[in-house]
Amino acid sequence: MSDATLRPEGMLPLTPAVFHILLALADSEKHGYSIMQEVTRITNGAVQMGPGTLYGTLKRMLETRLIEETDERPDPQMDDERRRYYRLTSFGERVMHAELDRLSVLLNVAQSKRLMGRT
Amino acid sequence: MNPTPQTRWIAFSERVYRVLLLLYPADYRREYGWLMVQLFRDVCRQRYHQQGRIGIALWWCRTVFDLALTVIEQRRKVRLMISKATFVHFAGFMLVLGGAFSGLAAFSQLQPDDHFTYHGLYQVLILLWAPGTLFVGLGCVGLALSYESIFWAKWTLYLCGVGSLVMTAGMFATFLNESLWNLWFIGALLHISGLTAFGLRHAFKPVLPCFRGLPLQMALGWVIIGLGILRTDSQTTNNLLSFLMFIGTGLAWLAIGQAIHRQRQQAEPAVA
Repeated sequence: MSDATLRPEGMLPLTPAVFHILLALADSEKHGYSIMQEVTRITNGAVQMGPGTLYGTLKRMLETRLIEETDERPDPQMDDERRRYYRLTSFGERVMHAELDRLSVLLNVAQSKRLMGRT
Repeated sequence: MNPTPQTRWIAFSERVYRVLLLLYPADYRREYGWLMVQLFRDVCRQRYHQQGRIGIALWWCRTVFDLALTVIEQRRKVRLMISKATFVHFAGFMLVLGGAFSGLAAFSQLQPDDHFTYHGLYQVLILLWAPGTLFVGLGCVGLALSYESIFWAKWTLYLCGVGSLVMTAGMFATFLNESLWNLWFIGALLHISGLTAFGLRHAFKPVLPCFRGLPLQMALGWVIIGLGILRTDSQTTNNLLSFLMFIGTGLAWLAIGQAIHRQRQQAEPAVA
């Protein structure tokens, strides 16, 4: 089955770990450690993944074709060749956008009920 | 050159972490073990640089918690995959067994007179129906698992299989208390519904390695007997019809099971 025929809606809602990894990979391909750092950065340190969670989630995402491994190295001179790099597939991108749409609908509902910014 | 305290702490942590990785399933460890060690070491360096030994201790707290959760998750996945793969692998064989038992049980229908109670050899033969429906049920569930990507085949085969398993439970329940025969009846309805739905679709879009109309023929046999469509005044003729339907169904499951079993054996790579 090609990525084009897969339906993003079937993957929703995403687990926080999957969603954070998709966001971390949205702008460029990354290896495990840099994904972890990026997740920590975009969540202001609120989410810090351990190696088991990170690679368990990456394995699941590879199986569901949300991401793929890439042989290309952003800068081969600067990097350890043994590292594995991951990037979003077109299906992964569609799933990320579908999840963002779902969350934005929920945010709109929360805003219309004046639930935002009460803490 | 003497190792610095930093490298000593990191190397020691890494050694301990490598040992702990043995808790993960072997396949997972082979695929991701070295990547996890590399990540663990990178974070150790970063934490030591930021907070010294306290940083490494805090990282260890997180890692142990993460390890406990993910080891359980990965071990559970492996167990599920093994049980599912076994089920799928033996689906054809179970259908062969189910068909053979059901075929033998069909001879109970040749008992002269009515079939409210069975006697002697006929009583022994009707008892073979319990393993027959049990194995057919398990075989259908195995088939449903192997056709997970085909929505209609998966769910109709599940219905067919679960119905057959409920029929088995109904037969055992009837031995304990005759009033529980309704359970068998409910199971039969589920089985026939699943088989009819599967048969209708299979006639146009076959997935089993058999004649495309065979599942529908089996379902029609059940419907004809269940609704008494060909029922006559002669008990002997009715018994014969019942026998033909049950032996036909049994032989059909046997043939389907054998074809699937052969197909799976051919599809699997030969072990050197």
